[in-house]
Amino acid sequence: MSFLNYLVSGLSLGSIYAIIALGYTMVYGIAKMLNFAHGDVIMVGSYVCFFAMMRFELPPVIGVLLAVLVCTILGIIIEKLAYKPLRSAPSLAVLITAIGVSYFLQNSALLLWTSNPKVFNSIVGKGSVNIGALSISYVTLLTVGICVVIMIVLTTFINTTKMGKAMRAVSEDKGAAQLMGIDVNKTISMTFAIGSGLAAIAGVLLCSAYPTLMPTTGSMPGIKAFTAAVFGGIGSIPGAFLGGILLGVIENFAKAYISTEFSDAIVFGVLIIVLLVKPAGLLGKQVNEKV
Amino acid sequence: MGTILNVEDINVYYGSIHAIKGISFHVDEGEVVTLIGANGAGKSTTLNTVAGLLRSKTGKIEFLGEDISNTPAHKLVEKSLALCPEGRRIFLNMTVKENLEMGAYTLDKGTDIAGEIEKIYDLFPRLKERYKQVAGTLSGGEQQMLAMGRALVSQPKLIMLDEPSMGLAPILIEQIFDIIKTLHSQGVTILLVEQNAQAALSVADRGYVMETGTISLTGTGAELLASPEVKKAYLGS
Repeated sequence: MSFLNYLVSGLSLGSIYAIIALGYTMVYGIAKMLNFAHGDVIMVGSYVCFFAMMRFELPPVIGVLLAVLVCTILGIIIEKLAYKPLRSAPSLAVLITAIGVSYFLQNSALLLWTSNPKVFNSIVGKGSVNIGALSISYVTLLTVGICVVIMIVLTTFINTTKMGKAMRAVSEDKGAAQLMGIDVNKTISMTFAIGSGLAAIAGVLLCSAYPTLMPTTGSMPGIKAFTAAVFGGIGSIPGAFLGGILLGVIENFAKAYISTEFSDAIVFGVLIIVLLVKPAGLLGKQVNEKV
Repeated sequence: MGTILNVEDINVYYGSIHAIKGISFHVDEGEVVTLIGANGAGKSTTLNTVAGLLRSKTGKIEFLGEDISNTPAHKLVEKSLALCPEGRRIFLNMTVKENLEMGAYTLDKGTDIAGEIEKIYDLFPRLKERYKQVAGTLSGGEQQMLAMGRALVSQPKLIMLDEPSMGLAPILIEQIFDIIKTLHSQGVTILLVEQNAQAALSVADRGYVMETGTISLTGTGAELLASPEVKKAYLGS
């Protein structure tokens, strides 16, 4: 039965990757840029929730909501100050700026909250549900549940609402979207807001499962989630979910059955193989234009 | 019959390249006006400037009496000015219906959008047959119809068509021009850019001939069709 336990914890880790990967993939799809500061937004969200719960003794739900609010605003501000002035700049300039924003956030966190690790109290109790030999902790249940809810809500939003359809239009062709009367800047801002809000949720879930919180907490999960987004096909929302979940499961199995030290190497090795076979990722789009 | 669009002395640059050199023209209500000329004469640049995608350094562009020289592109649709761009630029991953819904993006919440889309289906019955299909799977002619339909959903006071016949088979070109005639008879005001000078001039009330960023000749459609210069340069005779 240990196989099932590894699978469940892999799904849980994968759900966190998936929620983070959404932020990468949506921003890439719409603004055509890689926001490497995304991982650090996760860290900020975790600190906000941590202080709300520990210092101000607010209930976890309020802590999570505050984290989402702060990160949403942070995402909008980052976009406005750092990326918007570079809208027509070469993509390399935007990439370097994103790395700069990432360092800025990490070092600000270092100044504000020091490098001492904080012990994050899970937002749900420590108990678990036991089915035979299979034991699923509350955090795992919550994480997978939230991931499924986000997947359903986001897919519905993108496919059926006017704003969601406008986002798809902008991701396909900014110029044509403008000709429809869609405000492209507003749409990009909205995308950063959604992605950063989701990053806050991912941060809280991450720290609930792995309770050490430091200014660098967001970096590695951020890179893994970016990998997951590429794995699934960057720009594709279902791809981000699939990539995230698969990455989490593969990583956990690699840790359990092969080697803990090599698990990351195995994960990235799988990515390389997938990209060799399917360069656009598992669910990447490839549309041929007709004449 | 009032003036819908009045363009006065615009100059447009791509970096150091002077693409449009002080041209002026106007379009009156209910007219079909065409800009013809060779590749690179500045026809598309002119339309993109009117649509707000490019900016002129001088002069002014008036639409329905209002100066729109500095209005952002996305605000012009609301003001009832639509551009059907060169190369169609439909949303290939969205369905036919979703593309048309995007055309209705700026309509007020209370508008009967389904009803407006139905009017487009009357004009282009092929689109109705394929409303659920992803636009990328349409044929070239159908994609052009969708691009025109998408620009028409908002019932613009002026529709600008950039090379609607580009890359289409002769039979489809005929269909596209039939639709332009239908729109004309319904009183839609059209500014048409075309390389197919013969077809464009035969549907147009008036035309302007562009040559390397300037307007070299103007007249009614019939006058230009009969003009020796136009015949020699663009009609191949």
